[in-house]
Amino acid sequence: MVEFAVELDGVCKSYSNFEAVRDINLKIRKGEFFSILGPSGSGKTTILRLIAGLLFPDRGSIRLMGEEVTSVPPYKRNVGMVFQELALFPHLNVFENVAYGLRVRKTPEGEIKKKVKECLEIVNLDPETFGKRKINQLSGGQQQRVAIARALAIEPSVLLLDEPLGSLDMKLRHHMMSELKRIQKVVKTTFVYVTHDQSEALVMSDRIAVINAGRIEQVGTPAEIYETPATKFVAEFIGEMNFIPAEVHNGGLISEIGMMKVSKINGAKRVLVAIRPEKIKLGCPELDNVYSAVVEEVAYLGGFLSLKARINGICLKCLTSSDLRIEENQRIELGWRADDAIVFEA
Amino acid sequence: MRHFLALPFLVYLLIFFYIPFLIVLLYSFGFPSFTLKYYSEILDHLTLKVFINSLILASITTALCLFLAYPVSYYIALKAGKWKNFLLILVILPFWISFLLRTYAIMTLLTPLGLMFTFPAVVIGMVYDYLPFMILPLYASLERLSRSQIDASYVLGAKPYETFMRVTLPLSKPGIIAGIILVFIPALGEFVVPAMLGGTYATIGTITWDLFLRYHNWWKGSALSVVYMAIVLFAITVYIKRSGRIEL
Repeated sequence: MVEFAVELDGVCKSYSNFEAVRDINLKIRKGEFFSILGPSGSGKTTILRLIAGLLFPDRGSIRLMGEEVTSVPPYKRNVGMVFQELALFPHLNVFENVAYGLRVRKTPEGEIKKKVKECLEIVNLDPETFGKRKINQLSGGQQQRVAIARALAIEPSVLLLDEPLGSLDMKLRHHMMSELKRIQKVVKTTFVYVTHDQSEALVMSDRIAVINAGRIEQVGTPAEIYETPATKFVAEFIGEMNFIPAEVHNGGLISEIGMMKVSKINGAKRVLVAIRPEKIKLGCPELDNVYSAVVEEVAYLGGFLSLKARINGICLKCLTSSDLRIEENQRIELGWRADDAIVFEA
Repeated sequence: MRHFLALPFLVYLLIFFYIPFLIVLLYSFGFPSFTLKYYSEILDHLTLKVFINSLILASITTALCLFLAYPVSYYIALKAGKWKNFLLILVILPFWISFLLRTYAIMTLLTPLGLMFTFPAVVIGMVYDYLPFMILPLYASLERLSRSQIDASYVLGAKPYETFMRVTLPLSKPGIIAGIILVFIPALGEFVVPAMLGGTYATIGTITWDLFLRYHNWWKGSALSVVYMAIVLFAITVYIKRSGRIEL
């Protein structure tokens, strides 16, 4: 039994004079919903295309289900891929689009019928109603489902999804997110999902690789990535984060807002202390770090209040319960636990 | 009101095509009298032979254009990247020089090769003149095909050849149909190239020219033109009916 569906070992890829990805090491477990999250141009689609065999690495090796495939062409890899622009075949109907990979494999007609029906049912499209439809007679969401069914029909060793929800409106996107999760539970195939949208990655993934400028910054579960970001980039890219510049003095931290207590200090002299808005508590004098601040801005978010509070030259975002009555220019006391602050090299 | 904008062109067509065509039609029936004599005269084995000549020439020209143009269009549409517009201009560039001048230029190229006044000379000249008419519609249809559709086919397990047969070729069909029509019809009636490069190679075009301008037999020339038009019209109607809509 192989443990990993996809393994990348020191993979590098450059285009003419631009280094797209550098020294990528990834091990994606079988049956995992794995997301590659990063800003546009960070190289995440390049990684996906390397796994599919649509690109070949300059250096490093790629294994699929334990088998070396580094220089195997895409048509011999048996991976499924859902493209950003879907790339359905407009000259074929829904049935034939889904059957495409099976026809190429010379699968017997009876089996094709069975498999296409099964795959359309998995993505919640009625084979009777939709089988004969042309692609341009489908809505955006339906086309999405056909693209997923087409990729699943060949029973791929891994399903690669390249920002498939980018073109959908907000409501449909949320619906498709839970659909993708449901489909993955049914088919139990390894999903590798590329996105620049952190909420998509956090909601759906078992694990996430955060990538920036062609390098992996951190690999971990959504909670690990959010709670204990490994780099300043990850801390800033995922969710909201306050950064306070500080200097190390005799084992303590001094900043513009005053002394700060943290649980761990790295070797650096100048540091950035990061604290999530929701970790900042109001009116709890027993906390490790307590400061007096002036409220600059209040935004009502239903269940929550989003505040901007100023301590000297530093403005902090805080998220608090909307039960509290807080007004602009009000003086408040805020604070946080030493354990909730993360220290990065400045 | 807006459809009145089409009026100038309709008037133009009326004066320079429909009325002259009516005159041709009248002449073919022996204007100012009425007879079917000229039709019976042209329906002999000689006309048939000339028509077959034209058909062979047009078919070979169209086939060669298709095979030469397809890789070029494919490359420009899918592989050329930032060179796309430059390459398209290169394709269109010969249009900037008069058609007659280009045919004369071909003569000076063919003479040293000893090919002048042969069938291959006519074919070379025809392919040279008509190639852009095949490249452009093919390019237009291949351009609409996205690179990711080809990638999708590869990932689904289709080798390059299978991908071409199952995706690229079917999706470029509208362009192939348009290109064939744009090349085949004018090639069938072409007379300048065969007349200049082919010597005695007679086509519908060259004998129509001869009938009108050398023998001044407007009646017989008209009858031949009408028959030719009827055949082309019939063939194209059948072709379009069978191959679906056309996109130019």
